[in-house]
Amino acid sequence: MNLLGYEISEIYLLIGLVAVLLLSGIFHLRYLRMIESMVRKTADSDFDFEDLMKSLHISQGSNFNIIMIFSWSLFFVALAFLYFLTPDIFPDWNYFKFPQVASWEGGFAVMGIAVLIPGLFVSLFVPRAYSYYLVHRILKEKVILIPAFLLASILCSVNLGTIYPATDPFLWNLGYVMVFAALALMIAPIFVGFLEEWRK
Amino acid sequence: MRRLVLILILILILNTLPVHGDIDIPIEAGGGSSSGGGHRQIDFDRIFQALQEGKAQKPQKFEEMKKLLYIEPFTTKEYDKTLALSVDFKGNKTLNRNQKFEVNAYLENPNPIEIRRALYLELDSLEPGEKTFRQVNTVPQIIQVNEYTETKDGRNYTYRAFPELTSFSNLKTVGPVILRLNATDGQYTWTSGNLTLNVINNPPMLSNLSIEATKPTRYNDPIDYVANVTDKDGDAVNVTLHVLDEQEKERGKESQIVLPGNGVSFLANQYGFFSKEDSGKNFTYYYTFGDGINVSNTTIQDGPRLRKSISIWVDNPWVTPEEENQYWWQSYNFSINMKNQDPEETKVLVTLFTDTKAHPWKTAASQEVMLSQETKSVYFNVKPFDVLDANQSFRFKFTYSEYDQHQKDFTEVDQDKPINAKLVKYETVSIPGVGNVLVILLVALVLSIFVERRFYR
Repeated sequence: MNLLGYEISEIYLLIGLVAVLLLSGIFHLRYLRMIESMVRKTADSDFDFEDLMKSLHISQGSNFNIIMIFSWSLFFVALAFLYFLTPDIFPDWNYFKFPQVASWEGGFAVMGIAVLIPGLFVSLFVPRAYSYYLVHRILKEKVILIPAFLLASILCSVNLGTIYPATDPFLWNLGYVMVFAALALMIAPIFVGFLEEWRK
Repeated sequence: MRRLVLILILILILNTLPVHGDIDIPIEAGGGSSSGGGHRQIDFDRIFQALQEGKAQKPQKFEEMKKLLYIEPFTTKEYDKTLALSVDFKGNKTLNRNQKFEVNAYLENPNPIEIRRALYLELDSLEPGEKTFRQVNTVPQIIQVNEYTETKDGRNYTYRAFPELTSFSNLKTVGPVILRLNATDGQYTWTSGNLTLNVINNPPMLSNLSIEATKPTRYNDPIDYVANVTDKDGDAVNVTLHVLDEQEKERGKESQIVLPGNGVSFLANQYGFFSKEDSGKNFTYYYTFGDGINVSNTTIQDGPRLRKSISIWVDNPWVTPEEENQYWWQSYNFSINMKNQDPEETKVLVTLFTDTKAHPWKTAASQEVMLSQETKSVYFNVKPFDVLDANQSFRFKFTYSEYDQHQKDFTEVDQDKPINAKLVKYETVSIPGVGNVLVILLVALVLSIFVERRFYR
């Protein structure tokens, strides 16, 4: 990938995505500890961390939850399509290692569903984290963009798959940017919540 | 030994008797000086020299002296000359030529070791059809006086094996074989009783006679005469194939030596049994076979029936892909020009094969075509490849049921341009392309709704 005139390996970009994911996890845990610490300072009596979690719970609404579960599921599909669809990045680990599936008309769907199943386990837990944050209305309105970004990334990857062995670096870069943008929106409530709590 | 005894006796005589005659045997005075007195010493070298000269110059007298000095072999009065000698053989005495066995000599010597004498042992055999015994061991076995085992009851016995005779594989005729032993101690001789072994031969068998060839058979097709060879005795079998023409005259014969249990195979092409002139003729064959003793022959068998041979002419094998990108999923039009070189029309079976790394020589299509003297293009419009062939080079060949102008029944072509590496045969903006993405979205959405309703409320 050429970013601002520099060649950046796709692997480093993948590491960057994983780092952002880990960082948001750390911020989330730190956020919870900051709240716990603050409550402990002001509380009259001792309390259980489980009780605190229950009291912090804010219902974000069904639509928001469905969109976030849907987005997290699609995020893993988009990531797998971007990195593991063609042999360009991982020559030994890719969809074209199964040429009979790859050449079948429903091959992409098979791969997508194969990724959705493990992604579903992540969706069971990760979107639950949003219930501890006050998500701004503006942000809630923007989350609808996440599936759109991920869909755009998946389409870029599918196109790369259909034209393989030809390549199109622009499409791959676009796909990556879409995934990154989607991830940024998905973790935005956590970062915003953490920053607000940190400033206090 | 005898010579040494003779010399010693001679020395004794010379020491005691005055020497006279033609040979002068010098005697030196002992002690190294002439002043020693009555003790005398003999110069042995000079005696030996004198004997040698005597042998050369007066051989008759030398022989007389030898007779004079000869001492007969002798034994003591206690020497017992009753020697128990027998042929020891274990196992079935009716056996075939290849059966392995061991023949031993059993000896029982009653004499104690002090007076025992060395024994020289021979094994003799009388083979079928022979009138005299022959010695089996060309060098007699020597049983030294100390080579006996003594039992508690005082018997001294020993066994001797004869490695020279372990089978009768060299026998040319079968029947009774008589074995016996001869022993001598230099003074006495002993002969054992006879042991009779019955050597038999099981004749070889030939079974499952057949001809392996494509049908109908052409004169230059691989025609293989095969049969199974068995012989209970394990003898090597000499098999001869006799090929007969329509008048039952021998066209040719070939022989092979086969070990039993193996098949015998005569390839007609290898031996050149048939030529183009034999096309349309019927042949027969039979085998003769033997193991060196029994020789038999089979009945006359039919085959091969050679069909009339025609020559076709082929040219310009070609392939045209549906489009020049040569994707694996496309149709390829294979063609070849053919005609019959003979005046009549003939039906020829043409088969197309394609060869890739993933699918070596796969049959793509086959068709029967009528060929006349007019050149005809034979087409095969097929989709012979699959996704595994993508990015591979390929070859193809046409095979036909008649021989062409090069006496070959196939034409093979290497295609330089490989099959396109593209694996996915549809575009993104197509029903399968968009459909796949929609399926993913739909499944993800349904799962999300399910998870939200089941786990988030």
